[in-house]
Amino acid sequence: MLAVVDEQMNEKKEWEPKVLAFCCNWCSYAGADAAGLERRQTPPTIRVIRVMCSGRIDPAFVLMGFLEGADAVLITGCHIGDCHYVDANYKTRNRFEFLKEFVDELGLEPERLRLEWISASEGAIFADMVKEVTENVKKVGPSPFRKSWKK
Amino acid sequence: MGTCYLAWATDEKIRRRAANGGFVTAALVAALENGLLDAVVVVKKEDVYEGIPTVTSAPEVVVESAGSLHAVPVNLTKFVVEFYKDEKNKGKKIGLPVKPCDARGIIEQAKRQQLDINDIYLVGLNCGGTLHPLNLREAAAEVYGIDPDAVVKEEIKAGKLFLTLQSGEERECKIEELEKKGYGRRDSCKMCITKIPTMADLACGNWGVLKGEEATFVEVLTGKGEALLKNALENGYIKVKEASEKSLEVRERIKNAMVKLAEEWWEKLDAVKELTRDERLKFYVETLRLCINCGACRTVCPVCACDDAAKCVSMHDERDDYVISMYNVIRLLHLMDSCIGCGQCEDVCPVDIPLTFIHRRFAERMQRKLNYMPGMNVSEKPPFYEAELQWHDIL
Amino acid sequence: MIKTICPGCGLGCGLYLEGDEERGLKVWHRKRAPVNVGKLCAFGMSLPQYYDRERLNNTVDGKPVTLDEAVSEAVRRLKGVKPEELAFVSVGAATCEELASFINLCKGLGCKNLELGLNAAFKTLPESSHELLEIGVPLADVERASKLVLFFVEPFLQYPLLARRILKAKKNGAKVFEVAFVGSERGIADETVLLDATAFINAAAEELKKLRARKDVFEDALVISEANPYTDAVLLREMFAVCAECGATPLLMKPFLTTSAALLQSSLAPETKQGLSLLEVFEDERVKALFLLETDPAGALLLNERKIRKRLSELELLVEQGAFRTVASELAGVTLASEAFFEKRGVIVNVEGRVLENGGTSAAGVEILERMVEGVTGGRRSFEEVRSEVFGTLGLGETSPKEDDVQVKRKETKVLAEPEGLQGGATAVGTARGAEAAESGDYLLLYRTTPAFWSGVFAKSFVEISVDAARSLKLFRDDDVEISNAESVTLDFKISERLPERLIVSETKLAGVSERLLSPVRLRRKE
Repeated sequence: MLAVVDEQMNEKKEWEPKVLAFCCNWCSYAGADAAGLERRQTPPTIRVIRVMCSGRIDPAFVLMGFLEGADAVLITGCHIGDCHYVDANYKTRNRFEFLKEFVDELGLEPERLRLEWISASEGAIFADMVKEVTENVKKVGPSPFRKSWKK
Repeated sequence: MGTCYLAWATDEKIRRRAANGGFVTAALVAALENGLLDAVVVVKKEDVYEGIPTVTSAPEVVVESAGSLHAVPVNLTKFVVEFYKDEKNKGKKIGLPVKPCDARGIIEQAKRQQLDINDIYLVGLNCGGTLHPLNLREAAAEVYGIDPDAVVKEEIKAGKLFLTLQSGEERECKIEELEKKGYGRRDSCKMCITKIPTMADLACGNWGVLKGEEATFVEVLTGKGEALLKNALENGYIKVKEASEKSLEVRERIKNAMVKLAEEWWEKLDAVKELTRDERLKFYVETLRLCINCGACRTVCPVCACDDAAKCVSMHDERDDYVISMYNVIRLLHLMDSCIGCGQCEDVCPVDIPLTFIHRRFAERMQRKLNYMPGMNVSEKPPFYEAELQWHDIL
Repeated sequence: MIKTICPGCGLGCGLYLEGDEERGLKVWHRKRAPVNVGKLCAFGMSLPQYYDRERLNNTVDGKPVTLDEAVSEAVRRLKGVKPEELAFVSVGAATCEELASFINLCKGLGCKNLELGLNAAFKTLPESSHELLEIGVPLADVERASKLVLFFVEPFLQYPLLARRILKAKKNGAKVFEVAFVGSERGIADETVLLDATAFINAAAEELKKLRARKDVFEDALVISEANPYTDAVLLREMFAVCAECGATPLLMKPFLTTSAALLQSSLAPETKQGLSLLEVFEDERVKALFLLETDPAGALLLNERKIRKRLSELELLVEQGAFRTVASELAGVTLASEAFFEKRGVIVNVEGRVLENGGTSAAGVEILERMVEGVTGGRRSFEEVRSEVFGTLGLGETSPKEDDVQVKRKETKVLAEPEGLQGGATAVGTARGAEAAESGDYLLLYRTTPAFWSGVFAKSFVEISVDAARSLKLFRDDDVEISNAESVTLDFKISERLPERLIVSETKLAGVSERLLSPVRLRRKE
């Protein structure tokens, strides 16, 4: 998992926002797929990591994403009540509360972290969200955690 | 609020040796001698500046260790955890005098299944704060103008720190004065608002003991606390009388004054309060950059219970060149719901990172939001893991 | 709980150790310890592992014997060696009392080769500067200094408990300079004076002369550096020369518990200071017999184990006294088992000149040595007698050591005479040895000598390389690098932004690749 985070974040390119998205295998990953199939325009800023459930997303993965230089991190999963594993997204929600406070206290802009419930059929919502996050992140600028040599 | 008494030891030797009527010592001795406890954890005094935690079943050692040791800022939690790690100590009943931060640490460890709270009798002591031993030595020389080695006893009464010399002479200084000069209590203690250990089995102290009385004010908080008191009373180790309205009032007033002072200190010690978001980030990055990966903060932390497979360690790779290490971000995150602000981490940090206040910054806002205070009640599970624990309970 | 001192470096941090062999040891912080206020670095925190090594037994020619047999056999064999062919070496965790007995035994045998870790430095510097090498200054003086120069020393990693003193000095308004091949990762210095490692290795004196142009850096400063058995002679001389010229005060940090040793050697056996250095003992073929006290040659030397073994097996006699088995143990004719450092009763002197009592209760080490002294000279002292000799030597008289005071002080704080011999082309990288020239295209491997580095117990499994090196080798994170010279090693790497392109930093000994603190190597991606 960590190797994947690492790989996703360290491509060498000129700066444009890099948005790391954790997607649940059963919903938002399919949602992202749907956005593509429906030929909706999504900014090329997104880097998707598929997980089996949003409950698998350890907050430490999110923090590692930031430390590797992600300009924003998205956590996406099934709507509350729809979890493939009954109740794991409650955990996601609980942890997100901690992450939100953590990221804010640390001094990162709140725009850089987002939790969104997206079902397999909500391609449009997925595309819009990526668009919105990308725009917001462009406003706040590159992540202060990104190392200058890690372009 | 539990029932409140004024209590004192019947044994004159204990009264003389211990502070405020010697209830705590008498109750522990009584519990040992009558089989309520198998052992007692005391901090054995080497001198005013040094004390060593010791497990003992000998009543005389408990008596010898009576009296305050404000300049020994040890947290007994990890000591108790280590005690129970030894197979032969499993199931032993122990009792110990605890500061609020000791009690809270022990309760957090119980929540994490490191020990069974039913085995442990927490005799809580009101706590206005502790001092760093070397800081006190310096204060003795610089403020009191005396040889630090000549100090044989220290005591805090009515906002003053009294030092007794070998000659019997007593010197005093207001704690407020000391703190203005950069001495006095540790920073964590200055900003601590848990002054009365209401999470322990008994809460004892001299707040509420009126002039002329030589007794300990005791609040009985749990069944275990009641058992301790009853055992001591019925076997003639102590005498008690019910606390008067006036006593209760005085105690409450002192507590409130201390809490107010602590809140003012927090305002003063919060070094990032005035900073902008970007400046705050810069502060955290530059401060935590000093970290040399010794791992001491984790080892002493009274609420940490992970072994070597802890996430903060296993996800930390020294080869990373992150602006803040994974070790530090994970610890900050994981302690948001659990930090009790005891300051042990800062005490042992080899590069003097002001960890108490940094952890408090992160924890304070989360704990307020969740309306949760760690270490207060063993049945309130840590919110960060709450979901998992429910699942665990279902299974 | 035992009140003990960390033997990791010359600072002498205080701590408690609790437990036994069965359950293992546990570290508790001793906040009342004046040196470190209870704080410990990673090495101090790992002392349970450091002490959890295989113990040495009493043996003669590899066979277990009683202590009595081992002692008398050691005496018999030592007496059979010509004094000039014998060398006494202790660079490790020995108390002052043990060292005093060790010196006594050495003298009793008429041996002049006594190396306690500083002979190379002693030989480099004029006699008048020896005291400055032996004792440092109180750490409170570091906090109060208005100007600090970190001269080829990275306190956060090499002497971590010194770092907080420097941070305090900074808080008090001190200006901090660092002179180094690479600046500190933690950004501690206000200004970094960078020297070029390649230029240094080819002509150290020339490169160091650049510092003469920066008198502003050194004037009236407290200059903190390090003297270890491998410290470059030219570097040390230049440091003292600059200090002399600019009125600066030198503070030499030392690995092991070298301060104790240096003070005792200077007083009790000053003639041996010009004797063989650690490296010379291991290379000089005139040495045919060796007595090691609490010393792991694989820890103290940068030579690889095979070389050490080969050299040790060529000796006619090897006697080892210590708590733990080392690379020497199986080759030693006689081994004498003593107690681990934390179990020892005795004092040490830290870099400040603070006499610190180690809280153990055993005097076994001293007793073994004194019994050998008896076998050699007929006289035998009790532990108390040895102790009073130590106290007398340290100038304590009958007073007991007080950890709160710095009891052994320098008489002079400044360097009086400039050391000679700075000129000349041939330089000595890694004590009195001709340097291997660096060619363009070479990388340079710089050892960072941490307590773990010398202990030989814990090793990091990676080296630091520059961003440019990683780019030109097209390294990915999961790759390994191969560093080679005479031999090669393969290990992980960390990319370090601040490193100059051709520099590699290692906190691990890559014995076989490099036998000096700085040497040219080749670096490539491991296929």
